[in-house]
Amino acid sequence: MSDLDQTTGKLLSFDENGLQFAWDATSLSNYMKCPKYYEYVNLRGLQSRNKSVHLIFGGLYAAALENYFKHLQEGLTPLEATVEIVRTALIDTWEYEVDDLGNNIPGSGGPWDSMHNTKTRETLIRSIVWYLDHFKDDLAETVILENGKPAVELSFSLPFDNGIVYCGHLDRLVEYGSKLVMDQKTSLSTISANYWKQFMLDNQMSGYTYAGKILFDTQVKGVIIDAAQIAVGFTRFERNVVYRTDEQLDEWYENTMAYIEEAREATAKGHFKRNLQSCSNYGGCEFRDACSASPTHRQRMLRDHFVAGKRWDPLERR
Amino acid sequence: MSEPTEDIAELMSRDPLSLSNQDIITIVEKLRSQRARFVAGNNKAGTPASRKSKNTEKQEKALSIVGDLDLGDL
Repeated sequence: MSDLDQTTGKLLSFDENGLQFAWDATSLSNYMKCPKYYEYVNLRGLQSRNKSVHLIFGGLYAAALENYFKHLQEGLTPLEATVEIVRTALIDTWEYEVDDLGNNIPGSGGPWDSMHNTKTRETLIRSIVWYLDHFKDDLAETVILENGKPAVELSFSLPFDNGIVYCGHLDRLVEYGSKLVMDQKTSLSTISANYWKQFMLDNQMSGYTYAGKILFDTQVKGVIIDAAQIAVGFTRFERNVVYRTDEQLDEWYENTMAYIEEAREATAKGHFKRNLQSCSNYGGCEFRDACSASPTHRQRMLRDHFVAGKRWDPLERR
Repeated sequence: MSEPTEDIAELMSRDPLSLSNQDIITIVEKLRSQRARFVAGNNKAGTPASRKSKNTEKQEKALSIVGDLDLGDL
């Protein structure tokens, strides 16, 4: 087994035969993008040696806003909650040295350098504060569940057919004319009508709505998306709602199950076809060079540019 | 009065574990004032101050040790 094939730790979402039974939007989208991509990323855990700044930035931004509403529900004032999330974001974007126990050593290290001219530590903090300022009079209110708890930070695992489980994490349920899941997105592009079109059939939005309807016994109609355009000199916000009818969700379910069964079959056979129509999408797949190399040289290219890291495990609580 | 971006950059250049609540509030207030200028029409209002390169920081540190010495002091 090469160092590119090592798995790290027991995986909750895979059975004893290595077949994935617990799926989420990320796993599903990876397979739908390209079965070979799914093999590289989800089954072999291959990660680019240069972690995607977009994933890091987007993750920190969404986590900050999720925690803001959680702090409000805990009784903090808006200013106190803002201070907490800004402090956390500053700490999370400071590259400390760590002691033997893995704790940050105060006074060590320095600020994260994203190596990107727009998505930086500074624009992250700016975007968080500007979002809260922009939506300070927001009409979207956090739903209070029947158990009295606010509908924030909601992880779910839904049983589907054939032993499949569909997992996910909802940042927040809100009341905004109707009950909606709220999601945060960041983009380098202007948020135009064209930008919103990508969500019309988006797996993640369908999955959120499906889960919202079933799990929380509420009439969740869709997802409210707050999109932030990140530019060097500003962050601009736009909001839109994507709806899903019951018929659309039934269709999504059938489509999802078909892809999952196909992925499991490919895994059982150890054969993953390549979707050659996806190679150039979104700036180009990170495996494009390796995939296009002769098989004789491919392993070396993968070893040079990728590292086998922690595999994505949908059932693992984050 | 110093520019908001320079004040924010100075605070953000410090170890966040050393920042007080007031320091964080200052960052938040400066960023809000930036946003007010953006809303008023300034698309560059939120431009972060340039971060010093590691080489520049090393040079400044070396110069601070040397001080005002010149060849005449030899």
